[in-house]
Amino acid sequence: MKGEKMNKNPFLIKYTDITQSPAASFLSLFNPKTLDSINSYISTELFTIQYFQSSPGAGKTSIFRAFSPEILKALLSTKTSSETSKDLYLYMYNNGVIDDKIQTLTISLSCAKNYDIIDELVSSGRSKQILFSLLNSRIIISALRSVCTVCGVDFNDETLEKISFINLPDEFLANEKIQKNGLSLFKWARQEEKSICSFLDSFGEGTFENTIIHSTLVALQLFSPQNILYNDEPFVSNTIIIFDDFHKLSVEQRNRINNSLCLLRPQLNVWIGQRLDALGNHALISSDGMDGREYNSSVILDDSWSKQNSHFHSWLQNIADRRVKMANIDGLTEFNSCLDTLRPLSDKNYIKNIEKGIKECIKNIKDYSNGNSFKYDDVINFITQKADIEERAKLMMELEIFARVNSNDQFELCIEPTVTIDEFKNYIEKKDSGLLVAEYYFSIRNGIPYYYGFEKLKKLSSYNIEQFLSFCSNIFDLSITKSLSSKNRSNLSFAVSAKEQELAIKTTSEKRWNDILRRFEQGEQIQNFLMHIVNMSIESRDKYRNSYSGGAITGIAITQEDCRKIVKSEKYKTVLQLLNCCISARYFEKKEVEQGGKSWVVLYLNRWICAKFNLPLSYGGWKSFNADKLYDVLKTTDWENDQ
Amino acid sequence: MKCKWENSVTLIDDSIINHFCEQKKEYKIIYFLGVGFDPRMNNGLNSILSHCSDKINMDIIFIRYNEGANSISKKYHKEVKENIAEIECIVGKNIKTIELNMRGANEDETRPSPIIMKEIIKKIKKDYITNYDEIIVDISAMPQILYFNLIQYLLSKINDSQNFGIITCESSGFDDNIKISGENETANFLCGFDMFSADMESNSQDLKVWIPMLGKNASSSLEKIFRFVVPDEICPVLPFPSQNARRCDDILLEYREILTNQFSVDRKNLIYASEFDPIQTYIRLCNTSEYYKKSFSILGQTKFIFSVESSKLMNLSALLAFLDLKSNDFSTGIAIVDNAGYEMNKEAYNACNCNLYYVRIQEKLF
Repeated sequence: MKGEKMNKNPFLIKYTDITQSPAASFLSLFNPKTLDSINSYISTELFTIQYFQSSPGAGKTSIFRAFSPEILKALLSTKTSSETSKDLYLYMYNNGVIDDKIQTLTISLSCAKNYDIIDELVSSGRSKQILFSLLNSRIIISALRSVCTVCGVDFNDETLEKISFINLPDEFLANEKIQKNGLSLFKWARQEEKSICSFLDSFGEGTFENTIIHSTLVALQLFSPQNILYNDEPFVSNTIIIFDDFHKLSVEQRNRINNSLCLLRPQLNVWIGQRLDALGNHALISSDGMDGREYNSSVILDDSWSKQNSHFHSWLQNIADRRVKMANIDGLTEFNSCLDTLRPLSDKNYIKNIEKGIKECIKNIKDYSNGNSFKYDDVINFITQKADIEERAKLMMELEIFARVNSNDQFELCIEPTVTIDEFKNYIEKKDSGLLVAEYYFSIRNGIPYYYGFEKLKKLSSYNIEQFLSFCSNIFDLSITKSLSSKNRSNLSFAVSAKEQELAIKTTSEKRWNDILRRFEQGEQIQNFLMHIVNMSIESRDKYRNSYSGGAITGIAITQEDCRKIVKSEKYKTVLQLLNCCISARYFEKKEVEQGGKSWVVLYLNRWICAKFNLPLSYGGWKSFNADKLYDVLKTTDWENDQ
Repeated sequence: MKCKWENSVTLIDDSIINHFCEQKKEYKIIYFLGVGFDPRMNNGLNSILSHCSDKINMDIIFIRYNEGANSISKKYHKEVKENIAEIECIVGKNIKTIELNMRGANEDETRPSPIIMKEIIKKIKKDYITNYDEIIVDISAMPQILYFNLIQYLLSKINDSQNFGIITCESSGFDDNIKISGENETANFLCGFDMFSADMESNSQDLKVWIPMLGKNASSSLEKIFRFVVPDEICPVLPFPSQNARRCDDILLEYREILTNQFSVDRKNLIYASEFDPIQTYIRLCNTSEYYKKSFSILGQTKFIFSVESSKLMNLSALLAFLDLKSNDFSTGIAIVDNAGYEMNKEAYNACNCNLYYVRIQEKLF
């Protein structure tokens, strides 16, 4: 039965799933810090229509759930006494959502209920009527349930009778069955919904007659905070109606609802949650194309998270720790305990690989000394004398990068001067990234684990909570297995070694890669296109000289001008289709930058793709692609042929 | 609750031939054959006609379906042609064909269009079947969404004097080698099966019992359906006995993580049902539903949601259970994850592992 089902691995509870879990589970898993980006939209004075866009798993629906009546009710019962929900309570309190009672009536409505099919089942003249009719009845049913929760009463005929409305919309006045109380309204809405659904399920063989004329979202007017009363008293100061999964509606239906909301101007806040796909072709590729949204504002959660980089990463720590606590395992209180802190470059198990790697570096440095085989000897000797093998390995790799960058691949007639230790030290000091790239190159080249540790897991999230959890999940499983097989029961070890972490990360990445085929009809072509970029990245990596771009190119960039060209020209239809698939499924992380006097849309490979192909996780280099080049790449990846 | 079709029977291989050979010449049969890429497509009709073509009075109708321009199944165009050529050698070239569109006007739409039922209603008129004593649907090469809708439609149109049979050439091992492609991101109720009524806001507080028919390679679908249904109770149905005696164990092994870690399935809820006997399985599903309805009645209304990820015969039992429960005023639905087509590993096909099944759906004794 529904209740507190304990998952053995709490990381397997998808972030989106916590939206349907009991209030206590939600409160223990939800990180309230993610709400910071939406403070300004909880207005009680200025009613707005607000769009929240994100890729799957970015946390949109969880944010909405935090405002649901049952969560607010749970918060009021614990207030600040619960450590896990204290922050959320304070957030809601400070934003006027609750005080000593719930002040905001939240009505949630999922648009993922096959509304898009209505247009196919019903003639176009009637489909608008049916759509609004169904939405209005569902808004009423959902709102009345919320009212009962907000007022702390059971949902039954007796309490519904106590709900009343100051005004009824004109459309409702014509129907005698609808009185100004909740019970008559509920009975009408339930019957209306049932009749419409039966009609739609009959594939046109049944009949349905509207009891009122629905040409707009008239039900919204009922639930403005000034209009709704319980026991003849107003009981909330704000109403938020949430239309989630808005992208599931057809484009025409979305337009109808948008127009309806703009004309109606209901005295409440409207939040609309949708996937990035719903932005439409141009807007998905570049924000340059987000026209026609003057009447409302839009938050793209993925962008919002990446702009709050450090905050987002600290939230991930909090989210992971909450999951670990939920597992309720003796001796395990934080996720970091699942990760071995021993760095592979200091690990004796890899000593042979490291020594071999250092020797290879020295050989390469000599090769790049332009005829002066003593050119780097001082620096090599300086590095060799370092006691710490990790430092030795990284410095030697850095010297190799330095030698490669300064080599002109030609034999010099004049003997080049020797590089001094100070020159090398200055070079390293000037680098912002320190020895990170050297560590990456050295590890990848010598078969030493690189993808391990919490810092890497954070980067692997690519600003998507669901993605982060999928990587943590495998590691958590290993950690539990490790503790169970531990011989010393009094001192359990949960720490998963760097090698095992890397294996778990690679397994998850592999699964995601294979999922592309399952998920998309053109999965093979998508893979081929991504592979084209991956190969380009690998080629750039294997030059071992990209120390200023994080180690390798990990993305492509298109000018805004070319983006417009792709959207407008029929020739690039398939390019547009492919880019849309990749952006909305978040195989690319999109960033907009200014460089060289041009505006660029940079499409970085999602970091899990980087982990799968041993590419760096930092966002360094990208290569420019114009529309024609993309078109040519697609031709070679058979995309065109398959269309 | 008395199961409406408890007197139905399942015949296998030779007994099917005997059954048809025993029919009188005036016994008129209409045979709807799904035309697809599956190499098992012709086995049923081939077997029947090769043994009793002179004794049987049968009209054949090809059911062709269009899964849309982007369907991955289009790459099996050659296999479809070969199947048609093979059957035309036996039945001749002038076979009536009904073309059904499984996609709507929007080709970009990734899921099969709900117009499939509209198409069936429009193109398979009741007159087609009125003059026949028996209506047979061969589902060996039909996609699930099509045969579910077609069987439901035909069952609603037959009269008391008509018989209804389903033929399928079954090999659960080969079924495991036909994998879906272009899977939708979320689950949904199957169109044509009360997809709107099953998802009403006014019933959203009902208790939900999810009965998944388990087959292999469906972990992703199962996770999506779980998230869509948010069940209060889960009763997975496992195929045992099965053609491969270890199949049930293999399935449990494949889903051990999601069944225990994610779905928290109680071991006692597992239902073992014969892979070869859809009627017995259907009766068990009805009884299980009735049991839960009674048990949960003090808590409120209960909704029963089936999902069909198993072999055709197993899935058929869920279809029958759905139809019977619906006619007994149970709140039911069939949850599926739509897809854009199928990919087949043809090398895995072994005709020796295939059995022909004929399921005669009837209310009276056979």
